[in-house]
Amino acid sequence: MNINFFEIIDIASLLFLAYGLIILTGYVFLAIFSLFELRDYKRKHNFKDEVALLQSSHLPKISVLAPAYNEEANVIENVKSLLTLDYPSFEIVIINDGSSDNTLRALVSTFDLFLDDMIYFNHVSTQKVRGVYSSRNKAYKNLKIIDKENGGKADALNTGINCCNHDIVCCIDVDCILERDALLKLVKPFLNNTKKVIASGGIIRVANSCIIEDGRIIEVRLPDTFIARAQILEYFRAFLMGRMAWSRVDGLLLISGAFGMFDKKIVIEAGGYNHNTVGEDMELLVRMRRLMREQKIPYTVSFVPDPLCWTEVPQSWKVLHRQRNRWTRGTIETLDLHKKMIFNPKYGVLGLLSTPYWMFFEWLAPIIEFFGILFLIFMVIFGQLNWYVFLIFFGVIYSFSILFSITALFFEEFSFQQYKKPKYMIRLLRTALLEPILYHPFVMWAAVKGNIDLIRGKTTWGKMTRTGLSNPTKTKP
Amino acid sequence: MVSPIYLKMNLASDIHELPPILEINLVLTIVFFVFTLLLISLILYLRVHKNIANRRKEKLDLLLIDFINNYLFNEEFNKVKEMAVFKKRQLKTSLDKRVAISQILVFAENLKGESSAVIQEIFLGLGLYHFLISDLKKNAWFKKAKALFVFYQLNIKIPMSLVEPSINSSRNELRQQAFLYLLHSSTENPLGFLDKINTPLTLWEQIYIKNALKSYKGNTPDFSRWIDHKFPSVAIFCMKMIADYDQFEHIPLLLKLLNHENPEIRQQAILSLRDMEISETLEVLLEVLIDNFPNENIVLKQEILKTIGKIGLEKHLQAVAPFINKEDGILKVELQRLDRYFNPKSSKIENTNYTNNLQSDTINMSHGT
Repeated sequence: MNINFFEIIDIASLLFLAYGLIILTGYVFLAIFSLFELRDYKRKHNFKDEVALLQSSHLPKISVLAPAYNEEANVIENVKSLLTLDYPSFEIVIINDGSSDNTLRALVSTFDLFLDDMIYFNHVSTQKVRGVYSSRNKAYKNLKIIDKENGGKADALNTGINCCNHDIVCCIDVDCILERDALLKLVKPFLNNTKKVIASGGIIRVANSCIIEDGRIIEVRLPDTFIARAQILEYFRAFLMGRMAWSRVDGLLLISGAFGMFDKKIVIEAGGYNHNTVGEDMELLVRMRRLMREQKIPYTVSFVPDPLCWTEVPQSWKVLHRQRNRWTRGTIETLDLHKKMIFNPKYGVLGLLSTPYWMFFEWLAPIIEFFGILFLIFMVIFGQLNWYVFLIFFGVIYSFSILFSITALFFEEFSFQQYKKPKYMIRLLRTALLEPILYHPFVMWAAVKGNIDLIRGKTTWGKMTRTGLSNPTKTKP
Repeated sequence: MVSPIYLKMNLASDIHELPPILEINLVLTIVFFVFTLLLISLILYLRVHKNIANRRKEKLDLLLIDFINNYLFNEEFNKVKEMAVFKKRQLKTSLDKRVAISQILVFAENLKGESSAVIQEIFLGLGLYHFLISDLKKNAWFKKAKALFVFYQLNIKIPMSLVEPSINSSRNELRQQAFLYLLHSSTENPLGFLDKINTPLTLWEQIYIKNALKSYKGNTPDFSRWIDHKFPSVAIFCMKMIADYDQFEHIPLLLKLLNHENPEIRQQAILSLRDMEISETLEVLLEVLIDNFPNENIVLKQEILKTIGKIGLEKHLQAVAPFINKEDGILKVELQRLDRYFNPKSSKIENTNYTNNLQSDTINMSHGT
């Protein structure tokens, strides 16, 4: 069989094109499903009579678990903010994961803590717990601090699961800013469903540049930096389009580690968070779903699109690179651990849609894109590139990227309209135009590097430095 | 060697003779850009539309507040004439009517007695009753749900034929609003709808019903009526209510349910009886629980241990301790907690030597359970 050079180029071009078309079709379906889901959500929550329920003694008790590692600078503010959440019965469990700074000391002195010799059961094995602290001050009676040896976020959360008292756990990042009614909104799917709900996740919003007072967002502002604005668009696409759509077909595989609520019993039954992956949030949910499916118990996973949780996104390219590198490794590790599910009809939507989607669109997309760019360079070097043709192909990809971001912006406008000033919308539109050229290639490279690092055996999280959100003057433009 | 056509072509000259694949791409590029422009226009439209709607809402809110205050408190106000004028001039669109309804709900929430009757009068006078009745007749579940919500908030009666089909709607929200309407509008049997439901009650619905019962003005229903309901969720709800409303006369019934075949009902029976804390029945309750303990599942065993901790004595703990297996770690921890509670200084239960891996701090050590 003789295949000449041009035929190879033809075949490669067609493969890239076919892949592009599949992705494009997938995104169109995501957009359609999420539009229906958002519309339904808005219609369902049109009564505004939920505040009265906050007095109800029949609402389930919730344990809020927040791991803290070297959070000395902001931990007090963050805990105070968590303590003021509106919910009738909840406990805050802060897990000091072997911080090397004064996180524990700051907590002990501020909240008047004493070493509480409580008894708890180790459902999941963890690093050694040095002590569990409660407060002498009755105002902080629902606060518990666990001091343990360093074991990473998954280990810290498992310790929290072992020591907490309630059957529903809400796992958050300690530096997240939660809306006052966040717990009530996130717990609702657990209560208002005829199927068993094993987890519910919330949308994560970007807090950079927002005005914050007493641990609450009082004014939503658009970040000044391009990198943060690009992440806003990314989050719109991921949450308002991606997860809303997956929620509609009950195929969610990921609830963000920054804000998710779980049925503790199922978490324990599934074995808790996995210490051996950097994508512990996704891996846990996949394992929980797999467990329910294998036990043939009807269940569902919910997603709440209200802006309930705000977080600081990386402001520097270096930190962003680390984060995306880690996300990629987490995705691959999870897919590898649960490869049995991929294309397996036994797992229904998860087997036939969700896991293949994650494999082809989340894991392989950056790799294929990277090889596409290499292929392009190769063609340029060998003089095989017709620039007109290139422009046509580039045009279709670029226009689709913009269309996808603008669709996400439209969903934001249609649903929650958080960026109220017209200038914010103009800047976001401008970001959407630049993002495919200036931001996307970088994120793609970080993902490719994540693949390389995984092959090399890298298993660390990578340091995540934050500029801080607590001082409003710092964030004013 | 075959050279692909696209290596040779020149877009400027060959635009009309593009290979199909490139033609498709070019068309798609144009389509995507057109869609992008359309979406940007839609975003602008939404923004402008929302702003206009908000401005109209703000303006109408002020006019409504003024109108309703005059209607309520100004004796010289010509109610009939002004009502007709306001309705004709201000309530032209569906948005206007919905804004008016929202404002009337705010007044209804804050006014009681005679004033609330006047609010009803305004609601009817402005033609909002017929507006919402037409919503109820539509297929849109969210319009029906909202209409029912408004009717029960304003205590306005509507034909039952418009409510009853919603009791068994497939939409939770509509079903819930139908329950609440029926509860509020009933004079004698606020929970009568429980006889007609054909889906279980969600916990969310139970919380809403309980909340609505707080403001129910008629006689408190006898919750035992639905204790044998075909849906365990209804029975469980009624058992919770028996405890909440201290319907002590039903304690024998609850004691009987401690041996019900459904573990969830048994669990709620334990919870309700534990919450009611009636000294005369405590011994009977503990006796039944201890008898049942060896055969219960782990969740119920935990509840029994908690009950012993709350209302029992050390002898009750001693009685169940032998039935806790070594592998039941959670139960062992619960047992240890109770052992420490009953005997703060030294363990008396066999094989429950309390240890944990905390570093002791003699100054700060606490011995709470």
